[in-house]
Amino acid sequence: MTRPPADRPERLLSSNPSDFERRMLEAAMQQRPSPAASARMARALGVSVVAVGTAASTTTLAAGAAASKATVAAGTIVWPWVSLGVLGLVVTGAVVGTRVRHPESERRVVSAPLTARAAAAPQPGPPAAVVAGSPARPVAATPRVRATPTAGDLGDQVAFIDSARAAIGGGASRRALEILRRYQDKYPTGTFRPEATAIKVEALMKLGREAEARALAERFVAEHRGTLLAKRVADVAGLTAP
Amino acid sequence: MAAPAERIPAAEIDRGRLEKIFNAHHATVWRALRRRGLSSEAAEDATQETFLLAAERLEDIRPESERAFLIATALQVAHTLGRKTVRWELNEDMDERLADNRDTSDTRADMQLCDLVLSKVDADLVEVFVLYEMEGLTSPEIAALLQIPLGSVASRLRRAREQFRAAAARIEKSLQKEGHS
Repeated sequence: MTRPPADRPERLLSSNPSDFERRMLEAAMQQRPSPAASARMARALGVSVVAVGTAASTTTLAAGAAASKATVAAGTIVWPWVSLGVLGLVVTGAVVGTRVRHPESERRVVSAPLTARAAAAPQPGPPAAVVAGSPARPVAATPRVRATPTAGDLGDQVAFIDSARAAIGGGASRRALEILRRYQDKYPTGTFRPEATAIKVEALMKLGREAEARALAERFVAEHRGTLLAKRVADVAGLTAP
Repeated sequence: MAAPAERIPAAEIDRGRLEKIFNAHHATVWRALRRRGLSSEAAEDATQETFLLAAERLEDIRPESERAFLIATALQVAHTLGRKTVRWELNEDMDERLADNRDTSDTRADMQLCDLVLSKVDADLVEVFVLYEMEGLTSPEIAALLQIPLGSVASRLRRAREQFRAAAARIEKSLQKEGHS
């Protein structure tokens, strides 16, 4: 039996791990950032991100998906499906060099050119074996041209939804409703109508317009029976589970 | 010295290459940061920072060394973040998704258990373990990346495995006692 060289030991997953070890390692190795997180990072870099999803669509989506997670976290209800709705799409950075950070108290929210950021950034020195010896050079950013009108529309739609979600998270339910109204006016057959309705139900509930919210929720649940979103809407509106 | 914005014309950025390496490696970088104990938000910020730094040095990075460069940079970014941002998050994380079709809650639980087990491995060993066992780097790559001798990689990996397996066994046993496994 041949043994692997000392500098190339067999990997644990290939050397008879326990079921428990295998399960844990395999699960951890599959972990990925969410599509929304990938979109935010891509936006900051001004590049497109090709989502790894099951959807066949390779539509292009402008980078409006850069939602403020902090405001979402501040809300009582998180709407993960809004971001999941963009799974499988290709996200295009529309704003180049804009830094997207999570605005925790100790973090700054910067919307500055990449070049300005570069001057202040730490300069980690990767191993000499990895890069040639030339010094780090800041890059300048240029606005990215949107690929297609559809991409712009989708990005704009995502921005609407994210703004509404952020408004709810920040306790501004009226503002959320106003954003949703504008979304529905602008995109009467929009891609994210279900998410918009779901957010609207929550906003109405928070404003004490419960009858209106429940009526909307009932219609929504009937139309989207069995979906995660319908279950969530039913929950929010206090309906019995669909 | 010229202001940063004047140093390099925008046209010189190889945005196509940046996009390519972002798509090829951003999940790996993010995952390596998560496994190092950063929250998903902190990992996102650190990943972003890593690629911004890579963008600045794009011309210097050899194509065959992109992943190693990115991971090395990510680890240093994580280091500069300081310990206060590094924490093991065992709460449900709504902003992650799974790459396969397994039952979400089971896989999420397995991920969290993996984080828990890794948190029991000595800090100076866990990096080697994650890079070798989970990210598939070779020992020479890790030695270059962490700037340690090859022998140190081997010994750290051996000790990390011992600790990982011991912690896994303990946790599995306690789960079995509680009837969870």
